[in-house]
Amino acid sequence: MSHFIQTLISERYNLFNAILQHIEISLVALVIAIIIAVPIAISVLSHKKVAYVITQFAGVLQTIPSLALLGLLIPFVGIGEVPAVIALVVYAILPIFQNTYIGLTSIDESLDEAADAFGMTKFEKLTKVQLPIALPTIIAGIRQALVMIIGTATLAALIGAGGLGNLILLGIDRNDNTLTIIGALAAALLAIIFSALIYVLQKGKLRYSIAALLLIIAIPVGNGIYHAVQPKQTTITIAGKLGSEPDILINMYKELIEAKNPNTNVVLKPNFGQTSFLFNALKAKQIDIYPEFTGTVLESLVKVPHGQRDTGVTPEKLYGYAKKDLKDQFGFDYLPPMEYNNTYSIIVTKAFADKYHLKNISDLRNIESKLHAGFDLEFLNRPDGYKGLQAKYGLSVTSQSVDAALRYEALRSGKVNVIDGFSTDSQIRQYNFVELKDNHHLFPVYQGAPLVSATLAKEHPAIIDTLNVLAGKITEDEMREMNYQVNVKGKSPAVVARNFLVAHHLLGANQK
Amino acid sequence: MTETLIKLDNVSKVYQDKTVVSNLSLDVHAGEFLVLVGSSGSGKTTTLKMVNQLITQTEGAVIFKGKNVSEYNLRDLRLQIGYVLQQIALFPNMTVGQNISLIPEMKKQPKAATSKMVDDLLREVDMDPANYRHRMPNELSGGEQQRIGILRAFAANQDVVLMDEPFSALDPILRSQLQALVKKIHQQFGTTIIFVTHDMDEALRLGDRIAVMRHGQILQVDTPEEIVKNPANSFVSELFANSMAQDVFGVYLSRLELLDYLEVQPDANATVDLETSATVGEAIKLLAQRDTITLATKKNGLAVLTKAQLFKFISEFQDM
Repeated sequence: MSHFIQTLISERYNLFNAILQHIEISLVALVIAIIIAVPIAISVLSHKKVAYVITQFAGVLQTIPSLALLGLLIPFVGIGEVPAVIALVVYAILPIFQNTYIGLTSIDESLDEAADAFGMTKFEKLTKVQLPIALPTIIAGIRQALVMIIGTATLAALIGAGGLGNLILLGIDRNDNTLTIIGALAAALLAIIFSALIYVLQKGKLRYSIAALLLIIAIPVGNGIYHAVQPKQTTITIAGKLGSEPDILINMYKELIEAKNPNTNVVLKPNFGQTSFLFNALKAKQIDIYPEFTGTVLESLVKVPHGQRDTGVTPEKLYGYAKKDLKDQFGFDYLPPMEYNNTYSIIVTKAFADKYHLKNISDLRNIESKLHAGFDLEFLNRPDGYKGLQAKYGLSVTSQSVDAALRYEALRSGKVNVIDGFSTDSQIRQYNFVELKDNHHLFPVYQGAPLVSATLAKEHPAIIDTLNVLAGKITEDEMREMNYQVNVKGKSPAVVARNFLVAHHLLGANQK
Repeated sequence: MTETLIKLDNVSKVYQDKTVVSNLSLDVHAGEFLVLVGSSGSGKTTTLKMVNQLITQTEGAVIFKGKNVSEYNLRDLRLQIGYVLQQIALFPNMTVGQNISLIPEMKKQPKAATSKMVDDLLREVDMDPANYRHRMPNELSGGEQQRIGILRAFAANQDVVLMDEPFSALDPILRSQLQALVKKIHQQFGTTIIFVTHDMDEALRLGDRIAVMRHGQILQVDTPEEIVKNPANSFVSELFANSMAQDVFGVYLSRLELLDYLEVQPDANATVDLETSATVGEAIKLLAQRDTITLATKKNGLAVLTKAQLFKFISEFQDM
């Protein structure tokens, strides 16, 4: 329980933002769904067959799994809030349409006849009689849609639209169940609160309900107008993958750019998603910059030209390849990398290392019989993982596969005495573990560097320049420490990023 | 001499292959109370609805104030014609006050005057404005609802009010009360009324003139006296032969206003003769053999109903 409260306090800023984002996405989707569904329902009132077809069609849309729908939308509208809102609208249309139609068609015929007999025009009849009478049914549909939207909107985080899904994903990523629970609870609470709010409105006087409905509509619309009328600045959008490390890095980028270019507005999209999402977003010009690893570029983003050898070359050469391939194939600019190498790492406890005088991976050969390894399944099967250890180091150990998130815990509790990990993992710092040196250069190099869109590089070379102060900076120890500060100590990535820049005089160095 | 307000000129209504009204002609005089009477399927409601064009005739012309209704803007036409439905159809989303003032407001009559008129009308039907004005229709009894339905139709001072079997769903007591109300309003304002019913007593009681309909045609149009005295044919004479019928026998005891004033049955162990859900007819049957019967009333428990009390009620019933 105390951990829960601690997490709640340390993540309050994230939580608050996520809730706001979540509400915004949900309400925008709801309003659009209302604007679409209600008029359609009104216009098909006297066309039973059309109404039937629409109901069936909306029903079919609703059976598409939300994840699949989000995936299907990416080729057309990219990623981020737009596809998320579209998907949510698609789901919300059915209940709103259906309830509006049923509410309007189930009105007593005699009332309809009375309205006609009194000389009401179609519009008068609609506004004075039909809509007010059907309102409770319509609002019930809106309520149903809203609850569904708020629940489904957690998936929006998968395509970089943010919201409470971010906390859930982050929790899964950090193996921090508390964070996942907070995200899920917040979403559930949000659904309950909004549902109750609408219920109260429904019970209230008609004019209050309409006023409240307008207010609900006004929040996202007002927000949109506010953003639209703000003085036009150069806005740079920087995104990062899921996790603390990208989050810290993009905060550094923001600090550096804004310090040097006061008229530039940097928008951060932390925990934006997985590699392919970010890369596609960069291609679609939805984001301008994101930090990417050299290894990842060559392994999965570019087509490696014939004759280019990526193994057994120096890190500098590897970066050169990545930069050239990105430029040739996508026109992107890949800035010089930072120092640290976030690659596979072989990790033991300090006591174990001291006892057997372990420094390099090759030292493990001497105590092969005493080793009991806990390797992640992917590492076990990769040629540059355990198979490489066998081939390059001649190591053969009894090993069991351990889930990536549980390896450190297994090592700490003594269930295993050697594990694989990533060199900047905060747990290494947290438990004071020792990382053995890859003295035979088995593991590929994964150096982080800002990947910049073609347009930004062309139009604002000065802004891009400001990021180059990070080139060759940040060691693995430093990165690990910063991850530790965020993941374990609960500091905000922005504070950690700023502290680092200030401590290393990187902010001042660039300012003139 | 009498001015014709509405003229139905040779109108017919045919649905697919079914003729509901055929070649019907009828003049409605300004200020008269005209009752269309006939059994179900005689075409009386269809004829009524042609006046405000809720139903358009297949042939013939409907003339309102000397002008063919097809030349009117439909809204303008209907704003001059009040309408009362059997289903009452008060708008459930509006208060009593809003229902009554709906048409005056649609006619853009001054708000203050409308508001005062609503109060006056409510007082006219013994419904205290302070108590009833802000109630919703579902907070009213059936009889109260239809009273408001009638006020709604008359509130805008219409030239003519159409009433489509407005009382056929009400019990005999309420029916007499509301008939009296409509008669009173008619005399007070001189509004032309076209009233549809299948109840011959109602027709005789209300109509200045009665139009008897059968198979989509009018058999006879005349004053009640003339129709009873000189029926046009045997159908009409049979129709009215059994009139002045035994409605009073169908009245539920629970509706007897004298019920509250009955003496309490002194013998607590007396057998209950009737529940108050029984009718006057059942009570008469029992009272034919003895002078008092014991009723189980909701309000006062066991009560005694005497022959004299019931006779007094029956005699007053006809005066209502």
